[in-house]
Amino acid sequence: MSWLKRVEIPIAITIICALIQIIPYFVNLGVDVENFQSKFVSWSLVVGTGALLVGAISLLLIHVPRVTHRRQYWEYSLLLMIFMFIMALLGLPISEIGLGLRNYWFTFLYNNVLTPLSASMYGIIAFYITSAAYRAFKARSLEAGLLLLAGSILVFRNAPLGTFLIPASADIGDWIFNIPNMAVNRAIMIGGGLGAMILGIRTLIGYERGYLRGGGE
Amino acid sequence: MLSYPLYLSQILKSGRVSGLVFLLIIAISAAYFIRRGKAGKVPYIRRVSGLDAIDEAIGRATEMGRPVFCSHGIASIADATYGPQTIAGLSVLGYVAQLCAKYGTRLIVPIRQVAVYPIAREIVENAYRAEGKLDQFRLEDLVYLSGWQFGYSLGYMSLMRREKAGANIMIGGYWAESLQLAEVGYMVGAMQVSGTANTHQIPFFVVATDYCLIGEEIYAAGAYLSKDPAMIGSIVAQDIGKFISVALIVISFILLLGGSKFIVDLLRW
Repeated sequence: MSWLKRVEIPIAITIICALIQIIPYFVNLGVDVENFQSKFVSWSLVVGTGALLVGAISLLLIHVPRVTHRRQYWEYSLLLMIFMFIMALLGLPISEIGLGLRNYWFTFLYNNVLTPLSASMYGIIAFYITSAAYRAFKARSLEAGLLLLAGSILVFRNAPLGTFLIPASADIGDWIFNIPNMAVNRAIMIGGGLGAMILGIRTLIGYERGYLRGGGE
Repeated sequence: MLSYPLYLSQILKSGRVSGLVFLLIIAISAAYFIRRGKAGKVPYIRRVSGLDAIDEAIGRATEMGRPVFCSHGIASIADATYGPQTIAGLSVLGYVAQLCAKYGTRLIVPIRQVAVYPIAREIVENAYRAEGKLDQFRLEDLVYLSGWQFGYSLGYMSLMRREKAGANIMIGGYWAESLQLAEVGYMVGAMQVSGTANTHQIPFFVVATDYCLIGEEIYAAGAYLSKDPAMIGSIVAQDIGKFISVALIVISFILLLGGSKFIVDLLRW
């Protein structure tokens, strides 16, 4: 069954799937075709859900040996697996026995463990911003000097004390944010959009094979 | 609004005609330049220092005896807007895996999207196979960390600290975790190459990593690294798109000053 391993098959599938999405976007092909298109999109959810099993197996492949061989930090691996199974079991859609997304313990763990952890992790970014800004805000060149100046004005603009001490920082900061920043932002977005378009075209005509076995045959 | 013949309005969807025309121009240009590239007329493209630095980063990690981390972001590959960034990241992963296999350097691939896991595995495994070093391929180094954004970030940071990353290559769609990963990479002394098209994360990468690919550069990465003349040719079509965009902006600006909304109406066609 070596033909099954041929790279042309996934390329052909990619092209067909892409055309099913692209053509009805531009061309009126009737309600039936559009219904099929939206149904086709929902198939990807099925593929994604099936892939969850791959993720779970991958996690177990890493953490089971770590626990069984008592490697460094094996306790955390055990904890991870216990919680993974608890959440998976509690979240099973069997409402007759009280399981599912509305299960008390499922929502309890979600709201009191996952949500605060997310907030804490998000909060850590503030400290990383400070350390990164400390390194970046060194006026070694003209560009770095301009970055330092613009960044300082925006710090003043966003801090209540900054606008209190230097009221003009609010207007200058708004101008930097809305004019030069927005102009560059849009230029990058246009470039990015075009880049994505070319990548899509390369994929569509079967030239972009990086996502297929590293481009090999 | 501009009007067009009735038969066209029955065939083409209103408001999407200009987009279709633009897409066709770019597609035809890409096909033309790919053909030219195949015929040996390779266009000049500027050096992208971030992509050139990938070799240096892997070489450095090899000399230090440390592992290379390569990730393709956290965006779903099926996402219409952000998915292409993941595809671009996977193209880079193929190149990185090939170099790691060649030098015998350990490669760790942290993964967030389970749907991407089998693709990444196939890419890395194939790279090791191509170098004749399939015995060195370690499945456990392709790590599915978590579908939860910060769970992924936390796992990635811990891995970099534990395994003492020598290089950290992050190309793809990143969000709030970008700075966390880049800062931890800096703290462990890894040489870092990053790239994203998410404009809100580019400043973080620029500040915290050694080299940063900005926006469109990540989409050109696959073509640039492959050194395939046909693929490089397709990048020229990207520039044609840019010329058209700039021309439309300038003409539209001049016409708007004169009170005409012709270009605006044309784009809404």
